[in-house]
Amino acid sequence: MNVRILVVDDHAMIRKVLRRHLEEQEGFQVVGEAGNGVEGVEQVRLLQPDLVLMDVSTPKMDGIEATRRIRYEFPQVKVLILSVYNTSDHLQRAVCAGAGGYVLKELAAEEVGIAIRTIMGGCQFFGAELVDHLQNAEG
Amino acid sequence: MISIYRYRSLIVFGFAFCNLMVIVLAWHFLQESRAQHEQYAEVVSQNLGKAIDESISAAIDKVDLSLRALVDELEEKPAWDGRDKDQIEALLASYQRRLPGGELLEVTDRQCRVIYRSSSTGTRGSDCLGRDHFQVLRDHPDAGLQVSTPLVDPISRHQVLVVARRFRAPNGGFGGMVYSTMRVDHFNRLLAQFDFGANGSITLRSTDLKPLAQFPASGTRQGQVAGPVPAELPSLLRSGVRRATYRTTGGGSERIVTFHRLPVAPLLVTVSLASEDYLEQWRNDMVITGLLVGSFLLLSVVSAGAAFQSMSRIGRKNEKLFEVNEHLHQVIDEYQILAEELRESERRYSALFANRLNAIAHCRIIANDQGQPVDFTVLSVNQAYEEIIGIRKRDVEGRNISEIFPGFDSLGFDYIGVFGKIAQLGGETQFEAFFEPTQQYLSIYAYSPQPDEFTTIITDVTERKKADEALRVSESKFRIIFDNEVYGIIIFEMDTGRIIDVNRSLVRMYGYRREELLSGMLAFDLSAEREASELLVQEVEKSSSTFVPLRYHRKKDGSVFPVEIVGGAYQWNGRRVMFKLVHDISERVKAEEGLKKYAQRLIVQEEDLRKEVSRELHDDIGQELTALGLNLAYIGNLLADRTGGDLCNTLEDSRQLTKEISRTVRNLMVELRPSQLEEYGLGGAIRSYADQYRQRTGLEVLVDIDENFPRLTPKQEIALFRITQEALNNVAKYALATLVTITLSQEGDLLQLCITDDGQGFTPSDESLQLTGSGWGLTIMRERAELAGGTFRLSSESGMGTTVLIEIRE
Repeated sequence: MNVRILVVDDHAMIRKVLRRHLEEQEGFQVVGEAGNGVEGVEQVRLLQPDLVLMDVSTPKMDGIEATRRIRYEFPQVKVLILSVYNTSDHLQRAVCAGAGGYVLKELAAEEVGIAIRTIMGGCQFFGAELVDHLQNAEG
Repeated sequence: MISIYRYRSLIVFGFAFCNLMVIVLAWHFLQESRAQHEQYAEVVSQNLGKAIDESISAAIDKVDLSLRALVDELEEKPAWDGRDKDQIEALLASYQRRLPGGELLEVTDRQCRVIYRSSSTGTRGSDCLGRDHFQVLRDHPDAGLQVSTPLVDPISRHQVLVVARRFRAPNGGFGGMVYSTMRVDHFNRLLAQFDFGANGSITLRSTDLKPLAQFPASGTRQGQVAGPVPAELPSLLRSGVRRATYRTTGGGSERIVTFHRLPVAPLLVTVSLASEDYLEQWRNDMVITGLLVGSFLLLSVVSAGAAFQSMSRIGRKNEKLFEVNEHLHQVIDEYQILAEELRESERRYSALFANRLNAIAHCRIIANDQGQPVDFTVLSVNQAYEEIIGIRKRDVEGRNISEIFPGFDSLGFDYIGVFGKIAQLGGETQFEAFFEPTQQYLSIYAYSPQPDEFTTIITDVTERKKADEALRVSESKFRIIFDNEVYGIIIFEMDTGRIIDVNRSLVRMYGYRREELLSGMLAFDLSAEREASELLVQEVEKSSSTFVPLRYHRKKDGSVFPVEIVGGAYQWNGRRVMFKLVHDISERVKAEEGLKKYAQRLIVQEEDLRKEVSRELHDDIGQELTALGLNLAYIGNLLADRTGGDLCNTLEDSRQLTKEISRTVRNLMVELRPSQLEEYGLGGAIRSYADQYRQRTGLEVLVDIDENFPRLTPKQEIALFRITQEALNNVAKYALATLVTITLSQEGDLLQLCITDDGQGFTPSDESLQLTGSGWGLTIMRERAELAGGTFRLSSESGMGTTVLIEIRE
């Protein structure tokens, strides 16, 4: 059974490559796309995906807020955050909003598939590099 | 002259003094003599009184003796009645004859009836004479002799005294009395025996003060009346004294009176001595003494006159002698003064000539045929000449000046003319001139000790001239400074603030007239911040100088303008004064304010630019790199299936490179414009930046920011974040620190951001900072703080780290 995924990112090109990257892998099905947070929430209501691949910085409603609403309305829908920011603040906010994982965009190619499977397996995913980085930052 | 007058006065005074002394002594002697005479008279008076007392008492005693004998007879032979009356009366007659002045001798019975009487007595009746004494004898068995008060004998009509004794009857009772009478006249005779002077008197009185007898007899001498009772007697009698001596005046003369109360009879005796008698000798002495004193006075006056005249003659002679003597003394004194002056002059001349400070040259002038001075010969010079002029003595003495200094007559100063005039006409001169041959400034004093010669005393004043010149230049420089067109200069008393002097620039700067400023105005009156101005004076008191970069002063028209002040303190004419160089920096402040606005605008523009670039990086480059990375991964997967080897490796390298670029872009984004600042606020942004900073620099960073720290205005957040960034960058670059602490807090309306490190610190006034990036960074931090409505403070100390503190009061 495929994991039904909704991709939310304000950049069409990012959505496009993500779709291709995910659909290339077995077990993933991109059921929809959204260009901002508000649209993302609506698409979740409409499509009821298993997982939302959410960019942090989205217009109209940022990814964190959209995640909070989705998780509030549809607790069964998992959310994986994609972000260019590697700070603990971003991570902490994402987790607090209900995200199941946090992947840095530059590592998306390596980590997105693993992260989705981990989350769908009922666990949380934070990339090794991110964790290392945060541990170093915390000193 | 003076001494003669003085002697004459002394003589007059001496004579007068001696005469006065003689008069005083004579007076004293006479007073003493009088006192002695009076004292003698008192003694005489007392002795007379006593003698009279004893005489009368003796007479009465004699009568008493007879009475006692009769009493014995009567008591021992009780058979009186048996005797023959005639025998008894013959016995009485025989006793009576022995009595002094006895009138009669009678015996009474106990009823005072006369039972026997002496034969010579007349027939007077059978009653006894007087009853008072009889009653006393009858009533008092122990009664002794009784003397009656004077009574008048009815037979003889004489005044008599009754002298009586009692005798006992055979049964021991009162038998009667035996009595005799004594005529008072008898006492007159008795009194006549005594000498009490021609004017003296003795009076015998009864106890009721009636005069009984007097000698001389009353009326026999003029002015001596016994009748009136002396005023003192009654009181003396009442006082109970038995005798007393007193002085009284009466009858125109002084009298010494002695009063005696007789012990055996109720009689008083008063002895009165007149001063005419007892002072007669004294008066004689007084006359003689007066004559002697008068003679002495006359003699002394005559002698004094003679001495005075003699003195006057001597005085006149002495005057002449004194005049001659004075003149002689004056001549001698003048001579001595002149001699001393001469010696002093020689001494000075020698000292002058020997002194090493002044060159001295003695010269003789050389004149041409017309008498015009053309040269002079140096006769002698002192040792100092060699040292000061620099020519040896032997090369100078005896030579003409034109030989010593060729061209001397053509020097800029006409020395020969000046010295020639002094030598020929006398007098003296003093001048200073630059002496070209030796290149010296010389002060020359010249005078002529004798015709055609002159002496010069030369002092090298080159140093002083140079000093004067330096001073003149210094003064000139000072004047240039004081009169400068830029800095106002004010000098005022530190104690009172009263203005002492100001320059033109200051007058122009403040708009006051110079006279207004110097007429008692205080320096503080020019300041718009009076307290700060007074504190400045205290600061200068401690440190003697100060620099104030900005202070606001007030012009006469009330307008306030910014000034820069350099101040200093110094002593002037014994007063502690302060000067201030005041620079009107209105233009500079205006320019700085313009710059500040420009800088702040730049900061805003920079922020906008950063924001734009950051957005570009995020929205475009960042996303594109993400897409690129995914695409490269996709390609890699495709290639891995079909090819392998180098191409895959190259593709993998490209992917890694893409990731690196992504990380760099992310860091650049954070650096340019932290997304957290807008999204999560200042606290999150600082924490995030601190994380990155820690990773980048390896320094330990402690962030103390409350989780619930409120959001600030975007302008404040960006300003504080940028300041934190700049401060942390400075720490990384310069501080050599190991720990940085960032504290952000808000208490009430005060917001504080504090960044502290434990690095090497620095001196904030270090000028090199102004030229480095750090210095510029500090300026930007300050501008950012002010742009956010806050203040920027930097404190640092060498070796003690640095603290940046931003405070915003909302």
